[in-house]
Amino acid sequence: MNVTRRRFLGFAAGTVAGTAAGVPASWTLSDWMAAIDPGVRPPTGPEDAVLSVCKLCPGGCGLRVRRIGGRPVKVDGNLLHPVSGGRLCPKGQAALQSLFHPDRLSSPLRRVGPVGSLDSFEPRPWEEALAEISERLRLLHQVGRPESLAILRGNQRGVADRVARRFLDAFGSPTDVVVDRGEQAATLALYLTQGVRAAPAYDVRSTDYVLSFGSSLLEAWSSPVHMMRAYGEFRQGRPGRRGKLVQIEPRLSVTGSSADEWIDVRPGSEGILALGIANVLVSEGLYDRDFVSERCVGFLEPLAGSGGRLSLAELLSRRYGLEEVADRTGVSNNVILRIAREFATARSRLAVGPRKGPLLPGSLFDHLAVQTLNALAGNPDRPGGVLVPEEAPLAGWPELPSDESAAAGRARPRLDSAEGGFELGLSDPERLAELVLRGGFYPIEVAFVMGADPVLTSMTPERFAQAIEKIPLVVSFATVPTDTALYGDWILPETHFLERWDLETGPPGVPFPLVSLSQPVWGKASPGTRSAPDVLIELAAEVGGSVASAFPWPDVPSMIRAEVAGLFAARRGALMGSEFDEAWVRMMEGAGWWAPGYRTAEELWSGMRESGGWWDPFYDHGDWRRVLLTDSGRFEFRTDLLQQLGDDRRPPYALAAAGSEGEPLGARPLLALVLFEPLPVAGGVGAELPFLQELLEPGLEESWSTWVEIHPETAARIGIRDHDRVRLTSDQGSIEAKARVTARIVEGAVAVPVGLGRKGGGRWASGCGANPLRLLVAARETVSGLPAPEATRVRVAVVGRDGHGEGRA
Amino acid sequence: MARWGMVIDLDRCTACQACVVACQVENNVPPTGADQAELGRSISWLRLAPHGEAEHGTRPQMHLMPVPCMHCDNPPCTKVCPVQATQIGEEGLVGQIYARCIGCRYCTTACPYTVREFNWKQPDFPEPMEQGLSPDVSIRPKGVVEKCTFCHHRLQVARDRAQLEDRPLAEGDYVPACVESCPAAAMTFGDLEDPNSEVSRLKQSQRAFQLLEELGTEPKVTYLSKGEWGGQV
Repeated sequence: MNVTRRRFLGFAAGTVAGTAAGVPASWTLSDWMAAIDPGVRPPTGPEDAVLSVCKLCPGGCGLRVRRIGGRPVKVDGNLLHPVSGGRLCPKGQAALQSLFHPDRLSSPLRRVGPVGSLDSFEPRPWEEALAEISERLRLLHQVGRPESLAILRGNQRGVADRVARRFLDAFGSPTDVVVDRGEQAATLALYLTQGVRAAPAYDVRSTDYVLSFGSSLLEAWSSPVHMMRAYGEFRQGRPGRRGKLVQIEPRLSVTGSSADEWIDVRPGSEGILALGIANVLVSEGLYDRDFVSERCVGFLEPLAGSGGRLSLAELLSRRYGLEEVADRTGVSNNVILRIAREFATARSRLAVGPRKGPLLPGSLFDHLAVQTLNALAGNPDRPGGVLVPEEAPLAGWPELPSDESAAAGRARPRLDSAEGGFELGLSDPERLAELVLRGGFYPIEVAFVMGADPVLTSMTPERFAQAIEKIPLVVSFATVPTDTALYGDWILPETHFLERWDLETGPPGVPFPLVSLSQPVWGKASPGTRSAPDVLIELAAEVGGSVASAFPWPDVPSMIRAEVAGLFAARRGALMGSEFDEAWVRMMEGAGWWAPGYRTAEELWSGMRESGGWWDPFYDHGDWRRVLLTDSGRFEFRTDLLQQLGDDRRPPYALAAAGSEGEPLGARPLLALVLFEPLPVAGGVGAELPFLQELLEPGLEESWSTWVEIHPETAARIGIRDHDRVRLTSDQGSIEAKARVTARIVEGAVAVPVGLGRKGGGRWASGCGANPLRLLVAARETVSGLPAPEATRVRVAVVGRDGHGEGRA
Repeated sequence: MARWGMVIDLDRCTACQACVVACQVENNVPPTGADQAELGRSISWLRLAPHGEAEHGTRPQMHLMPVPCMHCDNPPCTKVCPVQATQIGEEGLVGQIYARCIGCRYCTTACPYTVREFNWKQPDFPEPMEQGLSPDVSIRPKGVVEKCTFCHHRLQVARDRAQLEDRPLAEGDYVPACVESCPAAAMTFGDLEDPNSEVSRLKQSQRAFQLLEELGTEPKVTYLSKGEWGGQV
């Protein structure tokens, strides 16, 4: 029924006055809404809630989905979940917009035209898709080249990841590539100093002073809601004890806006400042002598066997003296001294490394420098310090069936780490793309892309697009087409994360082990969609033999239940519960008891369905046998690496900011490129949702486009005015964006957000903004091999001055 | 009689904007799109207002504060409405009766906090987005003004529930969507008349201030300014 405004007013008057003039007395609000817009049919029926987990970022927030008549109408945090605690970030709040996205796929698509456009794809039946893909896989398997299969994936630590790894193992390929590098630098730094393979967990909740070296602590953090909850407590949750946050970065970020103090440094010099502060700690005797003498090596003597020639004390005094650090970072002597003394004398203090988001891990040098500072402050494994997360004890899967060809394939080097690198199994998607293009070691014939979008988010987007095009068969799973999918051959429509079962382990940056259960918010998935793990299991069955028998479960829920049985067998932890439950479990476990709240695996399962999952809140601080796994059994000051990386960083990196050593100040100087990830679009996810597009930058009130921040002095020198259309050009490529003149960015640099500039992503993301990763030169940090985006420098030129607003001609 | 109010602790706030989206989803705010945003016509009942960026050459600072409707005790908007489409209720909630609104936008001009939004277009929920709409809140037609209601539909539900359980409304029964979502627990909501409520307690803080309080609007949203390191909470 269509309703004119006049009739609408009539209805309204009727209801308001309670006279029901011309309106059925039984009309509900839903009838009303349908009357305003005939396309709108709000649900009716009883209200209930289903628990799930958000997958719009790796943060792992427990969700409570409110349903009316079985239809989800609102997503909130699960109050009992230890990550979200009933709270959510804007992404989580927008989850329903992604579930009900108008551009969701409902049929497999086969590419029949040129790459890069959704117009080149035609809908085909699932049977045809699976037949073609399984045929290719069978062939690879038969000819004994199983290593020619690769999987590119996200890192959600759920069923999809475990099934993908299992599929590769059973099939016989080593090339399992996690595309987002977010935790890599911090993980590597922890490994090199403490010997543990994990991303560190910063205990902000219990500390008094946080020195954040360019980290996006309050934005695109590993688990944003968990960190923001901790931050709230750090600030005002402890009567009489308010934490101080000092943010050190070249661009005043949203995190910086919350900080008590912003210290602007030259781009890429955060680690140098950390070592400068470390030097003050050592020279003024303000470091934690007990921790350094009992638990560290390499402080007064060079670390044995490392090849380093200097001890930490020598390195700091020779290379990171006050004058030199002030000169290289642009921070004054007084500020360095004051910050160092504040840091050292705070009751509890913490330094946080420069992780800027899921795509921007920071450099190994910076993270090592921050780890060094933390060790000098006695922070490893101390309350309010740097904690080491523990893996959840999920049941392992049955042994793989023996298969010689698969075993030989698995034993081959991963294609992405075939050259050098640490034996940590860290993924290197850009190297994979290069080797595919150059043809090295062995070819990739089939690739699956799931939960990842490397053509958007890798540090070499164009090379990746070429590599995807070159691989004979690329199969992408997507709810809404990703950029990568547009360069592949098949796009398989995936169920939304709210529509499927999942069991995921805790997010990075959360110190305690936890396992969250996701339940589908309604009975069956959207028409035409299937989940990636279901499809992989189906393909395994088609390939047959040992690959098929590697998956002994009929479906994902049975697989999850078997894993939960293993959790029960671990005989520790408890169901997620209230703060009181948490305190109880912690107290009991601290005293050596186990108070789980369930007696059988069955009870654990049903309890997890009602609470959201399992966890073990007990953290045993100072368990050195667990957190110091180096050869020496101590924290190792890696002066060898600091020295080598520090030397390698000087030119050209030290030139990054104008005004530093040897920088020519011409009419159009090269500017340092500072990248950041706004929370709403971090990790390349979010631009597809209109509510998130609105939120890109509250400070400058920017939304729905890419902007470039430039300092007033720098802008004046080049002749740029606020709101001008500008082109950024590097040795690698160029993009266009809107200039915003602001003193939030230091002179001689430009800051650009990452996350927009997509080809795919549906009606709201496609063609909106630009992707600054296209500007990056292929530089890498030595030793770690991590991409070095800070090596890229750009020229900026005005290309247009139209439209409206301030500063336009 | 309760008097509903909110306290926003800027020392806890991380400017993440979860409140903004929580509000939009809860209240069936339609997505507008880039072209409407360019015209300044996107709708959100709660925004983060920036202030404090320094002039050229001096050291910049940036502060972001969430600004919902202040639900003023002395609201300028209700006084200018020619059709009494916006009124302050007994419990201090400033409501908007969409069916009465004639779209003159006097109220959007009168509001010093600029938190009133006008529907320039018919709400558009491209299929199947309308599936996710909440049945608790009506969508608004083109040509009317809308604003933050402190999620008063939640008050109705909370009251019904309390009545069913034969008890008075307790603190925490009625909380707007923004407050519920806030990760850093920066927002607190409750009854200002109840001297024992958390909002009443927080309002006594030395850090408390109100936005443009000199205008005499008597807002029921109170802010707590940033604290000092080492200072008293």
